[in-house]
Amino acid sequence: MSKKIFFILVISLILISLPFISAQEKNLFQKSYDITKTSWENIKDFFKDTKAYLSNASPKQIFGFEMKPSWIGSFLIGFFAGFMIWLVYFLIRIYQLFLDKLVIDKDEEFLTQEGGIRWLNLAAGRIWKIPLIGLLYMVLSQIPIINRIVQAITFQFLFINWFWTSLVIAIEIGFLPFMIEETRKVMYETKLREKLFKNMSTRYN
Amino acid sequence: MIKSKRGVGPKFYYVIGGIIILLLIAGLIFGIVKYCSKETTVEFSQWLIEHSPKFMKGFSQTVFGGKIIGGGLDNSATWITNILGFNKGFCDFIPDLLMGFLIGLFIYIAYLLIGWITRYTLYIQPFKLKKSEITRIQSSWLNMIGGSAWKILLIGIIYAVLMQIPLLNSFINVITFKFLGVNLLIRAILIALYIGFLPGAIESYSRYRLRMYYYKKIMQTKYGIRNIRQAS
Repeated sequence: MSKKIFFILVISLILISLPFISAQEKNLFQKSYDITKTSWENIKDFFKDTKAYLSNASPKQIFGFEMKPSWIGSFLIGFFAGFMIWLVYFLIRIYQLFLDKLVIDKDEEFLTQEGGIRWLNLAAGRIWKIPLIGLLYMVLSQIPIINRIVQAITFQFLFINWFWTSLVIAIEIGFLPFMIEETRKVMYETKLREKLFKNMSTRYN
Repeated sequence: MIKSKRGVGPKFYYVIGGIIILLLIAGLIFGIVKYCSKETTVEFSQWLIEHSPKFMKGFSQTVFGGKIIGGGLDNSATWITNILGFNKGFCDFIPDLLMGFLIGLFIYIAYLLIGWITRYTLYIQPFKLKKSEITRIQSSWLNMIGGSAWKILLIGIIYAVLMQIPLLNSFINVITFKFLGVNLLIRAILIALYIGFLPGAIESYSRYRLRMYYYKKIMQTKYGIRNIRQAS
């Protein structure tokens, strides 16, 4: 239930922020920013400019119906994101190759091989998945409303450079779930170890 | 001299046959386009007037035939039936068929590309990706639906037939975001992704979840065994 509430909250937050994202697409903050003013005044000016923009913009503009991103450009952004994930997967596998030779315990060996980098393998473990990620990103960036959501969750309205967009996509679909997976595994193992120690201490006491 | 002795070769007949077939296809396309350019929509209000009982004819004529609600009724009826996909005819079948061929072509190209990429990068990819990887692709879902060129025709026909079914075609239009004005090419790619890659992705994800479950069980066993050893 809490997961559902979390998802509903995230989706509503994205939907509420869509008008601001469409305004920020015009780099209003950068335009209204003045070094001689205080931060509060800058923020106030930004909201004033955003309000002026939104009062003139059509709903089609706000919800991304008039966004025409380049097909090849968006494909390459996704492609590069996929390539970054694959490269990290590749490097970890090479590291594991050397590591596996040093492992003596058979149980540990099994756990290193199997419990290593499953998420990265799932996301971009094969080279053919790289163009697939590019294609998927290209398709999503062509669909109105969804392109705005993608823009919001990849923080495109903050970055102008394609490299950062690619990196954010790679982090969101590859590295972040991978880190969460690893953290969960460590937490689980710690929990089991604690349980074991607790059992041992009660037995010996 | 030699040619005249041998006479006309089989290649000549192939060329003539090919030209005749091409002319027939061109004629068929021209005929379909001409036929489909005609207005064939039957107005809902007109249908109501024609089918109302004799004593109601005058009333129907006044209400539905006049300017009271005639136009609005027609528009809303057409709008609803269009949305639910009831107003489909032969003229809608041909574009759907062409789109189906496009979807099939995308899946076939994807299958070929995946095969080539895997084959030529087999030794670049890290470990345990030997020839079993090619066998795995050959026995995959993608191979089943896009493994041969003739499957393009099959996918095209199945898609076109499915698109003629009311409600189902509306559902397909919703999942391909047609109502948002997404163009034909993107819709074709989306359907190709849905039917070509989604089942594989779901399968991979469920395998991932299962492996995570096994991992937990192995860890539990490992610490359980150590627990017993320590106790003894």
